[in-house]
Amino acid sequence: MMPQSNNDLRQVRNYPEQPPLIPHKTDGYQVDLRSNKCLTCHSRKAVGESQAPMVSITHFMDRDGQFLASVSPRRYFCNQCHVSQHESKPWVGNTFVDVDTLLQKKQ
Amino acid sequence: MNRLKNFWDTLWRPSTYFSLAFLTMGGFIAGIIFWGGFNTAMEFTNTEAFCTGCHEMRNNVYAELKRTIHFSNRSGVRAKCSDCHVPHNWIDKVARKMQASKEVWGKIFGTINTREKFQAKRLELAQREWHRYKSNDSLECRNCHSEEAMDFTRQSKRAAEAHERFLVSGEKTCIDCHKGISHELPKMSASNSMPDGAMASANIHVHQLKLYLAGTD
Ligand code: HEC
Ligand code: HEC
Ligand code: HEC
Ligand code: HEC
Ligand code: HEC
Repeated sequence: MMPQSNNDLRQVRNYPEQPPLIPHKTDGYQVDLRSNKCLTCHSRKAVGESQAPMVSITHFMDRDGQFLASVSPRRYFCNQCHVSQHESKPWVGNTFVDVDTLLQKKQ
Repeated sequence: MNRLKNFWDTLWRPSTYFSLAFLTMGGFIAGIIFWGGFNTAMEFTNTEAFCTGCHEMRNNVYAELKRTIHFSNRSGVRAKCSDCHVPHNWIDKVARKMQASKEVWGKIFGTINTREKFQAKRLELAQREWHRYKSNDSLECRNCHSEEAMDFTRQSKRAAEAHERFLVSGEKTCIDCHKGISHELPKMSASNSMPDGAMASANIHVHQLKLYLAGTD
């Protein structure tokens, strides 16, 4: 397989609710009940040293919309929603256009 | 008793048959043989085969190491257990071996003979290693990776920035940032692990679901 992209350039989201793509490699990063490597950089306390963007406030909300003191269990397993990329051609094309492009076309 | 005394006397009587040179040489050669034997035995205990000879190490730390960059990488240089765990300096080496024999002891008496028991004991074992790396400025890592030879311009932005800010300034050492580089990490801090209550409450749901499915609820 191609190596994971690791250019550290944040990607444009296709729509505001999209979980941003991960702009760095994550192979070997442990995420299990005992330890979460991502949070060693992305947690509230870690960003001073890592200079990584903090997990947004939605990551602290439980399903009733209550804010918890730390990352909610349903947002704990980061790779459920965030993925690293590989430098390779997509096997399957798609016709997605973002909302701005769509509005422009309509005009 | 008498024979023993005779033997003792002979042993200490000045030699009449052998030259001093021969005796000195003999002692020298015997010394080399014993010393060599000792060191060979020590070297054997440094091999991957020895370190992973017991189930505890093979099924836990070794199995985990195999998935990492230190086992297989584009350069084909493999880090052995001893590269990271045994100091090169001889006195430190013997001291570390004596400490390690306690871990072998732990195996024999079954304190870490299952995955669960190993996981329970793991934090303590890991902390011992972190402490060692911390106090020798990650010497074992530096035996292979030298800070001077690192070309930051060839590193990723994340790596270069972290190294420039904290490594060059001497504020931190390799192990501060690279814990878990070759084995899985135990639970260390509340902020980087699943909150304690969380799984317990999930388990309650599973329990209730089971009761429901069994028709007893
Ligand atoms: C060593 C620190 C570090 C670790 C560990 C780390 N990240 Fe990052 N992450 C960063 C930094 C710094 C950035 C900012 C862009 C860059 O430099 O790559 C970033 C960017 C991101 C972004 C993009 C955010 C955006 O707004 O575009 C996501 C998503 C992300 N990381 C997720 C993760 C996940 C998931 C993990 C664990 C599998 C992880 N990161 C582990 C440091 C880290
Ligand atoms: C259930 C899906 C989900 C999970 C799990 C999840 N995220 Fe996110 N994440 C999102 C979404 C959606 C966004 C963008 C909207 C938002 O901020 O809520 C996002 C945004 C982010 C951002 C950008 C924040 C910003 O303000 O720019 C970072 C960084 C991030 N996530 C990191 C993580 C890390 C680290 C984890 C694991 C601890 C994680 N996420 C787990 C869905 C998820
Ligand atoms: C026997 C020599 C050796 C020792 C000892 C050693 N390493 Fe490595 N390390 C390597 C090699 C070889 C690579 C892979 C280089 C490559 O092909 O990119 C590597 C890669 C790495 C990487 C890059 C990981 C990645 O995903 O790109 C890090 C980080 C690292 N080592 C940290 C450490 C730390 C921390 C220690 C001490 C606990 C250590 N190393 C001890 C030889 C060694
Ligand atoms: C302040 C924290 C910090 C310290 C101290 C530190 N590193 Fe790193 N290192 C990082 C980060 C962050 C990365 C990039 C993310 C990753 O590889 O997971 C990195 C990446 C690396 C890489 C891979 C380079 C690349 O371009 O991907 C190597 C090799 C490495 N470190 C070795 C070392 C060694 C050896 C030491 C001690 C002499 C050390 N590091 C000390 C934070 C640190
Ligand atoms: C690249 C360096 C490196 C190599 C190679 C390595 N280790 Fe480790 N080992 C470490 C570090 C660093 C720790 C401290 C805990 C951590 O950060 O994961 C550790 C911890 C341990 C522990 C304590 C328990 C734990 O998991 O924390 C044991 C036991 C152990 N190693 C055995 C081995 C054996 C056996 C091998 C060979 C199969 C081996 N190690 C190869 C670096 C290494």
